[in-house]
Amino acid sequence: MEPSLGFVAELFAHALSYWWLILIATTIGIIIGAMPGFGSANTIIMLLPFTLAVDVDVAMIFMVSLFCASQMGGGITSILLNIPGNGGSAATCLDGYPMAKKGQGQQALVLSFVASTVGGMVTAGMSIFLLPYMARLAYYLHSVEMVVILLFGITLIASIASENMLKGLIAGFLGLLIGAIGADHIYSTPRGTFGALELYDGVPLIAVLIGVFAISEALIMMESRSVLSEAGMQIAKKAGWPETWEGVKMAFARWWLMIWTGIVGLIIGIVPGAGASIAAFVAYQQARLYSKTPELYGTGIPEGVIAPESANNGCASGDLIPLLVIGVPGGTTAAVMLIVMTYHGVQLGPRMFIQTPELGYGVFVTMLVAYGVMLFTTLPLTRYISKLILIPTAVLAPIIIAFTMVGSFAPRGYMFDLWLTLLFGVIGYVCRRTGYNVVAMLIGVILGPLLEANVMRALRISGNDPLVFFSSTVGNILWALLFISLFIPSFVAWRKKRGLRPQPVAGAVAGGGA
Amino acid sequence: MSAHLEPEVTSGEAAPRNATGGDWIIPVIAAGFATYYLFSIRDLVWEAKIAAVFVAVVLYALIAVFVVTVVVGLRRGALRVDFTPLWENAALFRVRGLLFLLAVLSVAALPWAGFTLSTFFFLLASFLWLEKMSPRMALITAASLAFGGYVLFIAILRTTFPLGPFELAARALTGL
Repeated sequence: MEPSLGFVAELFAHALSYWWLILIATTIGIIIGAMPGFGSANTIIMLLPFTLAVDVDVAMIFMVSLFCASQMGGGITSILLNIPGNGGSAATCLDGYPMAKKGQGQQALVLSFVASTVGGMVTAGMSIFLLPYMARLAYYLHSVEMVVILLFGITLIASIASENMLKGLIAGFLGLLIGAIGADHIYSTPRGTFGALELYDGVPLIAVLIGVFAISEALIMMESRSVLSEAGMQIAKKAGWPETWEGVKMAFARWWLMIWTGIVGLIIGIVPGAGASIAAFVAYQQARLYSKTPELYGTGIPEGVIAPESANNGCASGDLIPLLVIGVPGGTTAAVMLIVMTYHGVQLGPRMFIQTPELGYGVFVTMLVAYGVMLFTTLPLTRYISKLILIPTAVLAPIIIAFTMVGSFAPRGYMFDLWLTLLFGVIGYVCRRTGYNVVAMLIGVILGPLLEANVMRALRISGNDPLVFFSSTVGNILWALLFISLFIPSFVAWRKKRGLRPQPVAGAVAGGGA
Repeated sequence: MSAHLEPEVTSGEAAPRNATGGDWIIPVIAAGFATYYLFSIRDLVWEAKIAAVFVAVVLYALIAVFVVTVVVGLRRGALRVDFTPLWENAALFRVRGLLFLLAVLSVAALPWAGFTLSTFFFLLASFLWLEKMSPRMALITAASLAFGGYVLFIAILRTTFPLGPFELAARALTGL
């Protein structure tokens, strides 16, 4: 089952011979990745006539390249406009946008592209050789552990992305409840839908994403003539090749961070349903935890861009592992790939590595080639892409509203989704103006249905015994970590406050006592 | 992130006080929605509501902690009630209100005007009134962007927007 180097080299040459197809797929992927609402899954669905008509290896090269590129493209709007192209790039906003505001948008874009490439390549390379062993990880995480992981994810995001943890938690749990709108998974009974048929399938994620990020950001950015500060404007106007190289140097000076955060993404990606959004936030949190200057995170530093971008591309490799090894897709795009592969008569699971090993390993070899192609095509473009934020806000804001609204309409074709987007735009605006973190709310909406599905599954398996949530060792360790992560920030803040309190002068105390 | 976190500038030695008021809106919405949600699932079987009940209970608990924090802050004088951070100043509020109103109008016009025309008029009005662009420049920019949007989203990506006069004319002329 383990591949030889010669076999991998052969696959590499085969993938490289399709460089033109990879170039087309990565270009489409980067563009749709940067457009909220046009995810890789939707695009592959739209292009099904092509992927079903060609040979399965060509279809896989096309889909895998498009998938990787969309992960990379999501960071572009996160950095330049504070609007994540997809859930996985929401964490990139935390430091990417402040860097852009300081006039370092081009460096931030380069950091994002290089980190995505390194994270994606390292994890794809690792996946080739560790594929059979890593897939076993998924067997240890059942619905009980998934419930704790999802709650852990929301508390983690609330604590790291918010200035005020309490407000972050309120936003996150409100998001979870919004995510629970719609028919339940077992009995299909509508809940919290306000009588709207359009909400029976749940709240459309894209409408929430575009509302709380794009519409509210467009309203907020009107407060100044430009997104950039005056100094930032001067720097951004001069941006050219030296800034591109500066970004490359910044990235490779932090090569170890790129590698280990990519691996964090890979491990989280293997867990079906966990997804790039959790991977990016966990990597960001871990990078901050081990940093010598954790207080600088959120102010616009390279590490804050590298960690989430490397992780969400590492997660792309992880997403595909359970698909290939046990036939369980790790995410939406992997699910669409499963449909295409099944159509072509491919039998997924251990048998695939015996019957058609070139297909299983070829997926990760294609990833290696796709990332290489992308890096060389995107780097020269960063100097032009970064100029986007030089546009005055009074011009930029209406353009953002007009074109992101298309994204909220496209997936379902309902006018209702456009009105919902505007409603979430107002909610997002109020959140931003009053210190409630919109990222925590969005992640809550994403995780809400997953939490519910796993709670229901755990209860059904255990015969409705609520103690099932404390029945596994891995789960209990995760519960302990969750409570520690909740109390540590408060404890650290309390100690800091105590340390800042003026200490009584020894003489004064003595005098007082005399 | 938000202006309300800025400490109030005082001339004396008194400690700066943060504003509160605008930040009550989200907890009020959250409490109202949680109550409605619990009401909507009251007749369901236990399994179908347990996850939402858990989330709602945690949400109520968090809102209770928030209320206690605000009440204590107000009583100690560390907080002051002030809603102005929501809109900052009247001029900015008018600009934001106008942009949002134009967005609402463009969505309302979409079913009969189609994507291209509603986008064109939304952008044109925004450029003229918000950016004070020259009419000629505003017209060219809005028309180029709306046409680019038509080519990308309707002609290439085949997004199923309601067809307006422009899309119908383009279809009749080109057959696309």
